[in-house]
Amino acid sequence: MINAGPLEKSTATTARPTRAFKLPDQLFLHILLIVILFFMLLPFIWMVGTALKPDADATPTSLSGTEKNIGTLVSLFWPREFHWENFVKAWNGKYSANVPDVSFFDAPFTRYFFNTIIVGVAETVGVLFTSIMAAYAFARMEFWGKGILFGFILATLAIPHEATYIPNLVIISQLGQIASWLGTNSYTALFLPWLGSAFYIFLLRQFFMALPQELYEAAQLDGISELGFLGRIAIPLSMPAVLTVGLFAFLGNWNAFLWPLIAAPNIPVVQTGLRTFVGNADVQTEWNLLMAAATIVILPIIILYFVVQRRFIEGVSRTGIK
Amino acid sequence: MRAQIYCFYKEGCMASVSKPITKPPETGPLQTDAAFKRRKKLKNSLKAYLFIAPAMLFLFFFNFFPIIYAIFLSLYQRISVVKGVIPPAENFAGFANYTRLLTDPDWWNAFFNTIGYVFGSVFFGLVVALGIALLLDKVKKGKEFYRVAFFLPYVTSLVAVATVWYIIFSPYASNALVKPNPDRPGGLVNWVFAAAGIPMQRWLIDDRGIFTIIFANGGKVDWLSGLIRLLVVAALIIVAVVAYRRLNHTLGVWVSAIVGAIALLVGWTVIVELAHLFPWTGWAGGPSIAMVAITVVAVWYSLGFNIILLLAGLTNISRELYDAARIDGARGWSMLISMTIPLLSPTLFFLLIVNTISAFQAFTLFFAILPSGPTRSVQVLSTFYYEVTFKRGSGTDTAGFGYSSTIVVFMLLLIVGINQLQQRILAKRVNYD
Repeated sequence: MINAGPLEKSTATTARPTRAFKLPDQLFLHILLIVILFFMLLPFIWMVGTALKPDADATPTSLSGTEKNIGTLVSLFWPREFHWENFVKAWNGKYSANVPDVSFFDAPFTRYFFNTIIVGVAETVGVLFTSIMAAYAFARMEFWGKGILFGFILATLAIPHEATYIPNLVIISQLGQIASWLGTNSYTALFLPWLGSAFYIFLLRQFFMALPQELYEAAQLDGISELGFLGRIAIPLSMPAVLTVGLFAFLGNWNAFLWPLIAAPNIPVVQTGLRTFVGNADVQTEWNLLMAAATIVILPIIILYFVVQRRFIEGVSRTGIK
Repeated sequence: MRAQIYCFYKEGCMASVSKPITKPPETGPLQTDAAFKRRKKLKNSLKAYLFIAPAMLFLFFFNFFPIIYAIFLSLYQRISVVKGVIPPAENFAGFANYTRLLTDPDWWNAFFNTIGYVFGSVFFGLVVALGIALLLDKVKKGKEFYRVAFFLPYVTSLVAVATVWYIIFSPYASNALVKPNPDRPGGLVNWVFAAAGIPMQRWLIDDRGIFTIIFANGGKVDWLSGLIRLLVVAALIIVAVVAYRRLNHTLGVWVSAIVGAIALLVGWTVIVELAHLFPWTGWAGGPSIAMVAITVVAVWYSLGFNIILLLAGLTNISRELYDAARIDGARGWSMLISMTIPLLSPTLFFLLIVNTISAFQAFTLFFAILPSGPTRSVQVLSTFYYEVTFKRGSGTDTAGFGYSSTIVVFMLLLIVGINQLQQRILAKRVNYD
């Protein structure tokens, strides 16, 4: 076996032939990990399984019932028959027979998705713009008060979002007096407070600082302006960081809950929408519809995650973003 | 030509070029007057200010100013709807909100609940994640697959996940049964409990302490069977120790852990019977069963994040160090405690701080896991803050932005304080080698 990597861990173990017996360690390890993983992903398995069940089967019945066999256990997770129309019902908010039929464009989840995506795109583009500009200035330019201003940015890192909610609500409602499209219950209110991010500035600055100084000097000799250097050289070279920031900004918006709830209750986004679904539903809703709704909310993120999982994990393990 | 370009970038390689190159004459600082320099810096500064202006504007107005404003608002009372930026002067209350906070039993309830939740979720979150990360670190093939799979819960949204767990823990069947019913046990957890013959619980709604619930069903003490079970426990412990000594490293640790767990389970039945002799009420009742359930969800949710970072930390520990320690005779737990954990301490320390802060701010899980909102035993600071701000009667003395701003100021102080404390105490012990 040709392995140029670090020393194999087992070398020292194999050097001692005194062991009584030895199971294949790796196999044992994999079995153990798969079992742990199964329990870890159990909620998702149950979610999808329940979402597809017919109404009557959605609540598990006890083993003390009539069928006392392994089939009951399996039927907890595996639907007897697949009811894909549960997803359509959940999308249309038809959690009881009283709810009237709606067209696709009026369906609750169509509105939630539309609102979330509009706000998400605006927030991602906006925060990328402000963060890239500021990060570049702090990484490459010399100006008075640079140290103090950067210290100010680092200080705002310690402020929890919750602490800013009430004052921000006041600010937003004051802005609403000026123009209604800025005030509460407007799309703008949902992303405006989050357009400046200390963490993203810090992260991007690290990347811009790592660019070789020679590049910058060469560009200056060629007479490229700061903006030109930023747009044509710095951003393309730091694309991984820029994409990671964009991804996390969009994800953060997708998962936002409390701020949309208080700042724009009339503009339901995905999370607040799902929550009203649960709130209305409480005990009247069949669980399969509730689980179908949860699946609808989770699925886009899971698909996105599998497409760019490397970037996700790299981003998290490198920056410790949480 | 190539060598020259190479030399342009690399310092100190000029000597390798065969043709002697005359060094460029040493140029001192450019002979420019100070005024010109200052004007250039001013011009550069103006340009830089334009670059940072948008971000600074948003950070100032929506991040920094709100803190000042919250402190300002905390000095006022009876302001549930703010008409202008500055509340009317007659509502100025000085430190009344602060004294009220310190005498508010609801606040203290939320405070202690939060402390308990932070300890529980951070401790168990890190221990479980460390266990899994240590296993993952040993995997030779397919590590990437496990990384992706274990991280999955963390990317999903907390509201959706809370909905799923609400149903998993639900004591109700979907057609509105009020009491837990063995024939329709509701969620998954109660189904398992019913199948195992354990009394089903009203998870998420029950404010009783977990010890109260476990030990209340102790029944009478059967001394003979208790003695026999204790002997079984002793035998199992011997098996565990032998397995740990005899088997090779990974296998030994895990076999001993599993046998030990069985011993614990058997010993547990004895403990439960004996514990029945002691009244488990009040503080002795332990965290409420609702808090335990929510902590389980919180640990599950943040597991992926912790595992990924711990794994990155573990990969950085060099294999030679492991081999050296092994030659020195370190095995299993001693290897873990005297070598892996100290070397992992920077990562653990970082995770401790990040997890503590996010546990203090936890809101969504507590708020969204029950449609009717959190019960008293799972009321934490952030949900209490939400309730004071948006749910209690408006315009009266009990509600308002003034009082809730006081809560915010306290939360801020708590978070910054704990952060500082952890930095001071732990930073000394952390190995940054």
